[in-house]
Amino acid sequence: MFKRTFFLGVLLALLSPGVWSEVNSVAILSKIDAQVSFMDSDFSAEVQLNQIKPGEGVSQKTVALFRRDREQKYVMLLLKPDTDRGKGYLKIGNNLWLYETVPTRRFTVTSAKDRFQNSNARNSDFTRSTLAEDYKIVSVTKEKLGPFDTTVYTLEAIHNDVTFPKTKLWVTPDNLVRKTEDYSLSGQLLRTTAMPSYQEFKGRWVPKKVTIIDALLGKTLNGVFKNEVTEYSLSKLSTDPLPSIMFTQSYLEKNSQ
Amino acid sequence: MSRLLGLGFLFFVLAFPGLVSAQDSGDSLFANPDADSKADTSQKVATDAYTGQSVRFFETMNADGYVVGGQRADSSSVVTPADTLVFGFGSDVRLDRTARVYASFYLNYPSTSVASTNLYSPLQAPVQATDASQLNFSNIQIRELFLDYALGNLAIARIGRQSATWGQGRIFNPGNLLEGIGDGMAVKVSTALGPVALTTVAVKNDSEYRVATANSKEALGISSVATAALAEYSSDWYTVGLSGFYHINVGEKVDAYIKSSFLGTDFFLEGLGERGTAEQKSYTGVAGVYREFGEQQKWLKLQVEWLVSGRQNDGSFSKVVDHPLSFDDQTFGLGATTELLSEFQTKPSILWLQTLTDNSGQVSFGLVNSTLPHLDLTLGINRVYGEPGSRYIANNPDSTGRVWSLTFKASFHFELNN
Repeated sequence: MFKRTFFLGVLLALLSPGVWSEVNSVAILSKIDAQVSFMDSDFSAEVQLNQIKPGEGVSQKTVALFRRDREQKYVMLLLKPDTDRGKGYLKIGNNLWLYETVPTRRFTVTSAKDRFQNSNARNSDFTRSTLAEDYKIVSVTKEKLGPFDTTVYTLEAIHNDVTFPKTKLWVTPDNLVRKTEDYSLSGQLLRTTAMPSYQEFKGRWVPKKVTIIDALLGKTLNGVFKNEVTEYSLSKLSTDPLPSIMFTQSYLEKNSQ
Repeated sequence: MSRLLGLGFLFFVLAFPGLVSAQDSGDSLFANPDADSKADTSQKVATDAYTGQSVRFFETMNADGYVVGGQRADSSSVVTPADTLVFGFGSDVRLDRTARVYASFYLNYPSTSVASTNLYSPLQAPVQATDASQLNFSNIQIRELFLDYALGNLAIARIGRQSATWGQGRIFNPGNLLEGIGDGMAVKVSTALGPVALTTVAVKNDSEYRVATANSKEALGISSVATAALAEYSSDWYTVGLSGFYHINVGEKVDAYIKSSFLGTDFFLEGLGERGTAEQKSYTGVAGVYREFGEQQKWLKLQVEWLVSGRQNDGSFSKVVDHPLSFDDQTFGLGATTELLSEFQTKPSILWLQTLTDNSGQVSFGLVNSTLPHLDLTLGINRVYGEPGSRYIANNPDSTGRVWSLTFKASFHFELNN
């Protein structure tokens, strides 16, 4: 009798709208995560990053990115410009280290929410996609985005350790995110990210070019407000196995200036 | 006709600026996107992307001029103009992914070394020249001179004079077991044992660890070598570390820490146990939180730390503590800075240290402006307070012994890389 009542209770709970949508959220977001994550191999790429500040020109950086998604690790090493060469970040789980050489050689913990090298990208942009672990879907609409028929998911964070508490995704039927809008808790738009085209690599998808438009930072030039924009593209992709020692603080230390 | 079109476009731009800057919404990027395609697999990023053959020479120069004044604890006023000039040079030779040689030298004027600036203390303690009328450079000094050698993908060794800092505290850092590494020769080996990062260090430092007996043979031998090791493990949500130190004359130290981040705040807790050669024991604990406030622009970066220590003011061991309140040193530290003035290339910061056991302390306020290229202008106000003989009066961090001071510093600096 108790067992039957228990299972009936569980069944009813699963069929209730709140729980059902939560389960559905995880399923939908997991499919999106799976398209861009390399859980069964390491992943390496070279990132060309251009930051465009209105009236100040373009600053360029080249970064080597090494990811081990199954262990939630990444290492990023700056290759250019020469003055920043060898600077690096190590991320293991939620821990992110930056190696400083001035005033003393030591590792400092930094936040994944921080801006990457003062650009409009965040350190968290370069890790594997964890939408299913971080967000739940609160609304769904359909929208045309250029040539794409997209489903627009409005997401809210399910814990505080995310870079943005609210976000909107424009997703094409192949489960690729083409555009995102990230919001503060108060609903203020913070940035828009566009990923119009992807490159298929070893059964996964990598954006060809990512454009991040900062909604708050910019400058008024000739009476027109121009937003700060960061663009980055990924090339030289590889899934070759990486040595474990690359994902240690010592590796960053060895490469630093 | 084209002129008319141009005028029409200009009118459109002026009338509807929002439409022209349509990229703001990102939708214009989808007007004609590239088709999805296969990735180009002809090239791969090299795992030794920055360890290939390269040679870098660098030169640095820092010229600091101070205008300082203040009052000492004995009520006598002091004016201590001080200047420092540091010329540094070196090279960084990377042969291949296995080997690298790094050398950094410097010339100092005056020969007294200057404390380094940190986030919370832009006001460097001024150094008083012994003879201001004479420009005396010290001899060339070695800052770092080391060889990096990678043992395949198994381990990385750094051999030579080097610097490194362990410990988690940004304000109080009792967990830095490598304090003596900068003045000695060291061999440091790091490896990954599964999920554990392991680092072992052997430091030979004749001045720091010299034997205080007349046995010169012993002084130059193994007794000036200290050893230390650190093991760290990171899970998704926390990092734990265990480190140890041993020297025949200094004794043993064991340090453990845990750090994590949740609710947008970084936390750490660290404990240090020491045992001297005469069986004296001391325990030190430090806990800290770090939080940044503000979404895009950080209007406040706040670090708060609490230190409890069984060491006395002069750093020596005290009696074994049997109750938390009997610790000789309980100090609270708060450091704060903001990005609100970053548009004006200005960074204000404040540091407040307060010893709870004798109510002495220090408050420093600094304002650094970097508007002019290669030039940092710093305004600093420093106040040290407490009863005569209290911790901060007895061990005044200001090398000239002032209890209050106003400092203006102009620091010229440049670095040239080939």
